Amino acid sequence: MKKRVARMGIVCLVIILQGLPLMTDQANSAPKTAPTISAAASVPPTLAAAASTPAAGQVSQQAIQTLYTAAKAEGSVLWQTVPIDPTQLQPLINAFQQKYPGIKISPFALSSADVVTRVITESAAGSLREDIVWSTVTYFLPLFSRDLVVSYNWQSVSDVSPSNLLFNNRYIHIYDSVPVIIYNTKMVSAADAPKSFQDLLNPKWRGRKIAITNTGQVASFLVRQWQQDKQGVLAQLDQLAKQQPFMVSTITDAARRVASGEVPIGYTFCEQFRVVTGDGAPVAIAPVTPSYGAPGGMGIPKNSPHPNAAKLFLSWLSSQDARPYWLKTPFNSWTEGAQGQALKAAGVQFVSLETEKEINDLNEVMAATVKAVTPAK
Amino acid sequence: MMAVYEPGVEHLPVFQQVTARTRAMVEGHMARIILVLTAAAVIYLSVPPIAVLLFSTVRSTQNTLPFEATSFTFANFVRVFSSSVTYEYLLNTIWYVAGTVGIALTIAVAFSWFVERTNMSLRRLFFVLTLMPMGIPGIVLGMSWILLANPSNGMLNVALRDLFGLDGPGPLQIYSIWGMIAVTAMRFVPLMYLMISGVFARVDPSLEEAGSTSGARPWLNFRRISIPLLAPAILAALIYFVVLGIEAFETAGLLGFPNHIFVFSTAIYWAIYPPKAGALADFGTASTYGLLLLAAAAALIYAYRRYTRRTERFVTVTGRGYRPRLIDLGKWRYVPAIVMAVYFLIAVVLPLSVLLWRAFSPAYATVSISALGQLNLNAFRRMAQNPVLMTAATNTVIVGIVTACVTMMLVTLVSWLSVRRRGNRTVALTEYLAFLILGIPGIVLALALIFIYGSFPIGIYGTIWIIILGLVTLTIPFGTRLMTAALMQIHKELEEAAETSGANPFTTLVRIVLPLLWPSFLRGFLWVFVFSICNATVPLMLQAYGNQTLTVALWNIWFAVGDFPLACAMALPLVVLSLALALSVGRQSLLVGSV
Repeated sequence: MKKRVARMGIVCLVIILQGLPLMTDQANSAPKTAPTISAAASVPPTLAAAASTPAAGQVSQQAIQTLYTAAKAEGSVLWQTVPIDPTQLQPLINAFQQKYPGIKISPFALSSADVVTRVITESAAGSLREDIVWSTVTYFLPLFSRDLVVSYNWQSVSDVSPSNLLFNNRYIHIYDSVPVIIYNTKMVSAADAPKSFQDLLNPKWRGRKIAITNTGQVASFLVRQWQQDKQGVLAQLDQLAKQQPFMVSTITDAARRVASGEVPIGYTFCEQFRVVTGDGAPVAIAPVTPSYGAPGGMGIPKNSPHPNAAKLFLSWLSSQDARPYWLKTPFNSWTEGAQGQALKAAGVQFVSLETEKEINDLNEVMAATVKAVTPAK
Repeated sequence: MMAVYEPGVEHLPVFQQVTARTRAMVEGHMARIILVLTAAAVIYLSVPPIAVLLFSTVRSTQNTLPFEATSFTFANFVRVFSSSVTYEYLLNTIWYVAGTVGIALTIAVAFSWFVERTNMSLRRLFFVLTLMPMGIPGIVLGMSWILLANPSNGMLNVALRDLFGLDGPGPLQIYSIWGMIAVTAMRFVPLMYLMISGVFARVDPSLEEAGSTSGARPWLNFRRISIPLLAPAILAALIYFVVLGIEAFETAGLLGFPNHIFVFSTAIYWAIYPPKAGALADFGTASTYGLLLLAAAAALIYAYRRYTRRTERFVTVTGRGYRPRLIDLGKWRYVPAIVMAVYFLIAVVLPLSVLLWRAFSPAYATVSISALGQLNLNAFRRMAQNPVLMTAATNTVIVGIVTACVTMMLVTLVSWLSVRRRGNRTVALTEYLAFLILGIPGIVLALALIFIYGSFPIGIYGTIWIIILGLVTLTIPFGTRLMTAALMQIHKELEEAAETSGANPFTTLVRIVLPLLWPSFLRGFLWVFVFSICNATVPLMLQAYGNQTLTVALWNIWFAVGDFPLACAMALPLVVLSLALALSVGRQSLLVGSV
């Protein structure tokens, strides 16, 4: 008995010793609150003065170099990404690290719902770990209202278009998450596929035949109508509830249910459509147009552990330099690359909602959908 | 406890005198030291999360977090208790839990009796096979059954429609309360079996022999003698799994969501992950639901403690020798084997077959002879190339082993104190707290840990150690019940004999009690290990860069990335590990004469 216990104890000790480096590594790689080093802090005053205020819209190589120097001192970036296979982002990461050696990029996938609470909680506790937050701008609103996102002169270090800088330079619009209705081509013919949101209310789609998320995102097609005729939209949402849609929790799940043939039609984003068709699923985009959605992009939370490295990386991600690598991922503009071709073939036009009012309207109509379609909430 | 006296110590050198006297003092107060340290550990693990839970219930958390709200309020209670959906959740939950626990307990008790107390055919094999599904995470089991029995194109439904010429959808409907009950019950059976089979093995057969001698038939013996003796273990399993059933989210969410069937666990999940984009977690509502669970757990443990007040009623292992005797089933000895084989086919073979098919086949390929030619190893290649998965596998093993070690050592002490030091207030408090933890939903516990350790500068936030802390906390109730039930069967005369011979409490515990408890300890170790590596809730909430476990990676790949084949490929090593552990426990049990 004693020998048995001793043996177990030795095994446990070995296991614990294996785990200790993991603790110190985590602690070392994400210092609690690094002091914010401004781009100019480490540069002699004369150069800092020259670099500090480039002309609007003018990229300053000096500013980039200064930022790179400060970023190298920090050495790494913890990049919170949307849930995605990390290997899909590797071309982007490799290209950046080749251009700017000495800065390690660590992608970490987290759902948008999770990241908001996490950033607020960690910021309040002074233990923020994420350097860059990636989500549609809808999820950034609580962070903006709490002044937890950095505003930066991005045009001094990146050739990003001014129209892509939103919410007082706190958010960079990098790609379009285009909502689409997809259908399984083995179960639904092109002629029978819905051509509008109202087609979804046809009785032939009643009885768990439409996969939609429980966040009410399917109502994004009605956001313009919501701005003009709320009662009309509510009536349509009541009809949608009567269709007894098949509820799922993520757009990925919706795409997969349609791709597997469990549900004939569903609501998802175009990037998910591309993922399932890449796997050989018999799925097509229905010509439900126009499609409205919030921009997809990133921002830097205040008091992130590596602010300069984060700024350098995000400035590169938003630049023209990075576009060819973004095209290798599912995250493109709606007119670009494979996404652009798929939407064009389906005849879908996309309208990006970029003001706070438009995004609040979108949130409202989504909340109304949740209330109408989900009896328990 | 008598002090250890060492004569002649005053003639030793000073250093040796100090050492000898210190040892004497420690041994003299050994029991108290064990009590204080154990109580401190349990209080440290349980009180802060309960305090955070209570704090959150009285803070206004609609679009604010508890620490952001500026005032205290009872609005959460008003909202929860005045909402009709709360009572809808309650009814669905009662139905779901009663069905799940009722079915699982019936199967677990029957299987335990077959394997441990009868001479059924192949009982050693079925002992292992019953434990085998423990390593299948709930999410994997749920998705397997969706692939099998979704009404549109589930494999079983397609086969049944072809066989009987039926029209679709159906006939099986997995997205129903009965679907939820059946799949959750299948998950609970091996866990319950592990919890109660050990005590079946330790029932003194002389008690049943006395019944037989008096003319009682086997069924009457079982009902009037065996069941009352096994009552603490069965009651412990019942209580534990009632609360587990209330908290079980994965299956209820997977199978209930599509058809709008909601239970308490779903309600808590929706409060933490509200459907509205950009909305914050509503900790107030989640914590209020959590408080209801806490109250239920408190009531259950009170009832349990009253029932088991006189522990000598349940003693079956005494200083007198005993040898477990198997009941001879005669010509019926093949029947239990057939019953268990059918169960194994439904509960294990079918879902595993689906997993295997999905892991080796192209995504979205339907089952057909022609598709056999398309089987490939692409998913396994992707698994090997994914850098996150290798780290996740390492983390999972460390988390599982450390959690199991820490939990079992702690709960052995808690149980020993609880059974042998009844009447002591500190012990009673420790035992209450150890069980009250059961009432804290895993999601709420994890969030409490984020609040607490995100603020404390002790460096475990974002590491595997905060996950281990959470899982140790969650597994204390189970371990305590398991070890308490086992300890109740051991008469204290064995320990009294050791103490009379001069052994201190620690020596008695290690050299007398632990060997007798070893089968239960091992079962508990296995259960905690498997629970830890299969648990998704706590690691998911506490995940950070570099500390993800396999279930978190599996969850992300399944729900967020949508790579079915990769997720199925990842699930297979967990299942293989579970089988290996089940075999190991089976071997150990064989060595100690159980099975």
